[in-house]
Amino acid sequence: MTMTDKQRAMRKVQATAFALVEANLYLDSHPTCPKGLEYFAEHKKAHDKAVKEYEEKYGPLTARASDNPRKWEWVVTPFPWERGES
Amino acid sequence: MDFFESGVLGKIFDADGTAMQKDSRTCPQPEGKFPPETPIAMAYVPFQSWEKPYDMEAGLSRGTIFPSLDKPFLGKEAVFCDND
Repeated sequence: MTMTDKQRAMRKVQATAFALVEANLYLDSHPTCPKGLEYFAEHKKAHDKAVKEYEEKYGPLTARASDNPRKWEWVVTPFPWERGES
Repeated sequence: MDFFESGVLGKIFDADGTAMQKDSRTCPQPEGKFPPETPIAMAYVPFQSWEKPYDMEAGLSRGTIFPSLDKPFLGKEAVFCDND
């Protein structure tokens, strides 16, 4: 099944978010592990970038990501789960 | 010599502590890497160490980025035997 650009962008957000969850759990028990810390820092950047890229094109993923001065994007654009990604 | 020492149990549990130690050394047990002073009858989980993680996409679908944590339920005992 081929993914639309939007689905690909969402998938990237999800994959980077998941990598951070895993790194988080690992670092909870290995708080000074250099490799783990480096992995987290790297993927935090990737996640922020993926979220930014997604939101610029398809709208906010969270309410607090709405940044349109004239309208509250969160409710005037379809919610993430209504955008046909999943 | 009450029941415990004379009967079947007597053969397994030698009343004299030191002999018991000797027996546990000689009876064929899997040689673990635990330090000798490790108390028995306790559960131990080896500590995880960092390893080369899956790439993100694979991690998301496998449910972990750590290959050694990737233990899917196989519905049968996961033994490494070469015939199946």
